[in-house]
Amino acid sequence: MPMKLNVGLSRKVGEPNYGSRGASVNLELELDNSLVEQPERLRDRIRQLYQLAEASVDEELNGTGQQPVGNNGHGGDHNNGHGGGLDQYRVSHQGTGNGNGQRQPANGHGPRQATSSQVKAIHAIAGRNRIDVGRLVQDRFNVQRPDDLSISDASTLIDELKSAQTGVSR
Amino acid sequence: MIATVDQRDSPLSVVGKKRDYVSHSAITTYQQCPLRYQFKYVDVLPETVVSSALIFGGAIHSALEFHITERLCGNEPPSLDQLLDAFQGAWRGRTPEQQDIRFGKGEDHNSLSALADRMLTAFLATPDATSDDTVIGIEEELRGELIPGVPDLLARIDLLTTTSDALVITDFKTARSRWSQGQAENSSSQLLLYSELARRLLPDREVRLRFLVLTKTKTPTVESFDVDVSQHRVHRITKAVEHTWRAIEAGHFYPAPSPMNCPTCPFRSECNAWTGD
Repeated sequence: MPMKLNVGLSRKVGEPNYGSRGASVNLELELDNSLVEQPERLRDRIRQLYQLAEASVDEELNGTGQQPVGNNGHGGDHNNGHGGGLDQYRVSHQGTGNGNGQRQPANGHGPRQATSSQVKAIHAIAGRNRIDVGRLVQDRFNVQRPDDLSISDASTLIDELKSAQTGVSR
Repeated sequence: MIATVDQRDSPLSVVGKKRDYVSHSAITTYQQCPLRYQFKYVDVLPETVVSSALIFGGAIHSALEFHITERLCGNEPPSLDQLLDAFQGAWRGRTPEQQDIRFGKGEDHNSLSALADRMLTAFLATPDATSDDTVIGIEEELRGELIPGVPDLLARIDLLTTTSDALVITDFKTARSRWSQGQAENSSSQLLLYSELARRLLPDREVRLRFLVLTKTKTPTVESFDVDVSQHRVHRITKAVEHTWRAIEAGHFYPAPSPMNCPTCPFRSECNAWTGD
């Protein structure tokens, strides 16, 4: 059974008007088990994978990469065969964008992101109940922060947090 | 297309020195009096006088916003006293030291505080105060291009809610007297414009528009009015904005005296001094 190597990288950049854009990439590489016996070569492969991840994230943030096709029209999975030093690997990457009052996927398609009122409410309820909101949205919706939720998911989360709060206070 | 820096710096700097967007308020200001538009948005003259109605309406909005925000955050609904605190806080925040408040006949801060008490009491007794609709936005700012060649429209929506099949935009209004359905329809240009931005939030939902009108009367009433959102009406108001913008862009600024608007205009002395040269 081949050995698997996973590398993930995410980065955010500030935008005017209190906005930000983020991109993340996750690479999964299958390696020959024999590399375990060759630590130098293994480290080379890891470095190579990180460099590829960095380049991918930079492309996404700089808008120089090709638009991926997938969920929301701005993220998705695609398999790339990449010759040379890398074996077969799988890449998934996602770019998100938002700005004050204009929270939407960077390419203008797909469901809009949570409104600022929703984001404030999520932080307020979670803060009051000492809930790690970053971890919560990561575990529950696989996004990094409440800002990245869709409007519907943000509503669902607010309802859940309020229900949990009601349950606790009873 | 959004105005570029070059456009803003041109002699026809018609959006104003720091703006790359246009608001419904700016458009209606021009439609009411092009010269007032110039003073306010192009010359950015200081406004030394502000009407009490403007401050009062804003402070009532703030109290309603506070109420809905507290409910959205899962807190207990605020008491009347808390709403009045929000009203007074907003009143103070909206009256900068360098501005004089122009009160109406027989009005002062105390009488308006008493009026706010009655209006907020009336609001708390309505179904809107305890509505279970899903709130997705309070004083939510949306911005986007509606018309090619015209700067982005900036919308500030009082309340955005969803039902199972609709996105509902609610605009709070304070009025001297009760509205009729016709008055609501005639006042809906802002909501119709906003609907075009808001429908992009949830494209699969029907958009509904409504006013919640609180009267500034001895016994205040709170009434809801749904308004028609036909494509024809949206198209019509969009074209009106486009033509208004073309006039602004061309620099057509002139006074439009009106017994309705001049008494509350903060630029009366500048207007009197204007020669048109």
